[in-house]
Amino acid sequence: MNFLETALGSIKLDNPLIIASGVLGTTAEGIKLLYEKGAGAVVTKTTTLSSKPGYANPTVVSTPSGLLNSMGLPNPGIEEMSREVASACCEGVPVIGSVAGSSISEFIEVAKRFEDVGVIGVELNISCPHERVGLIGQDCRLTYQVVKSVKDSVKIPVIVKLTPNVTNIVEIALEAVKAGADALTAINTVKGMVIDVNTGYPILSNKFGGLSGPAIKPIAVRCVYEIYASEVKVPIIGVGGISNWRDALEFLMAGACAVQIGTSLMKGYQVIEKIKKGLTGYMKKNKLKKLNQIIGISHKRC
Amino acid sequence: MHTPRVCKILKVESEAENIKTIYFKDRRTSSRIIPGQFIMVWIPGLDEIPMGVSHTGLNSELAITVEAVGEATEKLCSLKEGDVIGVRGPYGRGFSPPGLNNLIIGGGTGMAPLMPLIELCVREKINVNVLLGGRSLNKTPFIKKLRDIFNPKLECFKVTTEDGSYGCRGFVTDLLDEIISKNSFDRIYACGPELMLKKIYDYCTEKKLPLEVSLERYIKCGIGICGSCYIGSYRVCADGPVFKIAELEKIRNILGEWTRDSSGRLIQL
Ligand SMILES: Cc1cc2nc3c(=O)[nH]c(=O)nc-3n(C[C@H](O)[C@H](O)[C@H](O)COP(=O)(O)OP(=O)(O)OC[C@H]3O[C@@H](n4cnc5c(N)ncnc54)[C@H](O)[C@@H]3O)c2cc1C
Ligand SMILES: Cc1cc2nc3c(=O)[nH]c(=O)nc-3n(C[C@H](O)[C@H](O)[C@H](O)COP(=O)(O)O)c2cc1C
Repeated sequence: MNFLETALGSIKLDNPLIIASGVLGTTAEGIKLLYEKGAGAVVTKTTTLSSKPGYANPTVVSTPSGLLNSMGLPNPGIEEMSREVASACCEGVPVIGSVAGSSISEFIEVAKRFEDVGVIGVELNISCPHERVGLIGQDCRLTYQVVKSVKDSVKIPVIVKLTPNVTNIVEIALEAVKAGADALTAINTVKGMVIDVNTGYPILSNKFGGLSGPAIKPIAVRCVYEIYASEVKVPIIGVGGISNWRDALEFLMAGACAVQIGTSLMKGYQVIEKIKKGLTGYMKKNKLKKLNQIIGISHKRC
Repeated sequence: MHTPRVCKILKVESEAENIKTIYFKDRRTSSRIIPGQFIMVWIPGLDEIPMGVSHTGLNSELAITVEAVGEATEKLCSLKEGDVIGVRGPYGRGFSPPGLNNLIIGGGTGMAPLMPLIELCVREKINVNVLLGGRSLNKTPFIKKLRDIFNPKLECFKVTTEDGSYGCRGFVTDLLDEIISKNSFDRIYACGPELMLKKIYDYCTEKKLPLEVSLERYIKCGIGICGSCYIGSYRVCADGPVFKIAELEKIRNILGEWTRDSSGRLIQL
């Protein structure tokens, strides 16, 4: 019996562990391997209409409990990426296409191209803290416009990835849902900076980057909890600092139907199976049959 | 942990035309490094690039050997004693320990990550044969260093240059047949231009020889999460840069044919 089945609206997943965008999902073979290693679905690297080289290195630097990155959305453009993704989709891998663009028409075009090659949904990246697209997710009107335009252009589910770098994440979540979002992902990275004190240089070539890993987990759990407690009724995907099954469980209890993992893959692919095993063990021990029985239970505890 | 550690440059040696060997100290790298692993070298304000370690000495001393091919490597080659660089690592999977009889094949600066392996073999008196290929005498690194290490009468160090200005005229791969027919190697290590590696791979596959090669792809994070350096389903920075012949089998259609640029676009080699 599979204790870990879950659903994001019409998207059915064999297990709730999704690979977060930008972490290894850059090529067909990379995506296939992540699925073989046990992921319930894989989100692609965020893709734009034409190719982007990304920022110069250093693009990654670590801090005591997190990782700061400013990749700059490097991607080969939708033409090449759709070929990579098509190859994975053909073999039955559940792929979610991550979409960004510098205009509404670019968002629409990229989303449609992903739809054409058989992705199970698209995730709109309006939340990258070191990119202009990140500004969309900090503005209610822009969020509504982008989500609505994509929603009107594709039939597959549209997931919206939110940024924590706002005063009130619920306000943006509501706007996305009003525009038709089928699910929400929370959260993208938290804007940060690291300076080398020997030389005085900011380490990342782009100066600012996005913080991920254990450092941001409490922020991410809070965001999921707040959205679940609001009038938003679409499924939530929780992401930020998950590195073991207890972390994943925390997000489910806060109200997430599925979770994404990124930075913890640094420790190896086996983290995927370990989390699944831990969650299954927890379900059995507590005589639970469906993840639904734990999703959002923290809201009943106060 | 994955933060550049700033080190002072102790010494810079001219290794060949446009190639410098830069000495510095970093205790973390020197205490952990296995030959074949790489470090990320930060040039503050400019770039951070992957580099093999070409020497490991006493008191945490290390060296990189850099060929100026673009902006970052040109800047590195212009640095002087007392200037600073940042390093993080060591990263990736290095070469397996040497066997009883070893063959090491390097093409140009590709010899860099193999140098500590040669140093190890010489130090431990392990049998090692070295083939070094280059364009010409002036453009080939390590000739002097290797000549100093090896006794010319032992015939275990051979150089080829494309223009015949030193050693035999031609390519290192021209010497494979001869050296392999005369010896029985339990390890063959190679690093250099990918087309050279592809030739060696084809040769060793046919003869069923135990080859390991070190590959290059565009490396950004260095820690196996950003997906920039895939070759097939392998991440060069974390699963490599050293790959064994059985692993190369899975990427034989890519080897010497395709690489990816900084954006991930496929490029014909
Ligand atoms: C594991 C590994 C070990 C290496 N060891 C050595 C060494 O010991 N000595 C040495 O001289 N060179 C080594 N290189 C190659 C070296 O990293 C590149 O020559 C250098 O990054 C070029 O940077 P640039 O700005 O000077 O040139 P650019 O003009 O930016 O590029 C020149 C070429 O280098 C490639 N390149 C640029 N940036 C990177 C990057 N971040 N990662 C990989 N390739 C890149 C480009 O694709 C291009 O083909 C190694 C590469 C790898 C992957
Ligand atoms: C190296 C790296 C690259 C990333 N690239 C993207 C990206 O292209 N698009 C995106 O929406 N999020 C990107 N992210 C953010 C992750 O998808 C995720 O939201 C964040 O890292 C928090 O999860 P984690 O703590 O499990 O890593 C990236 C994160 C990292 C570490």
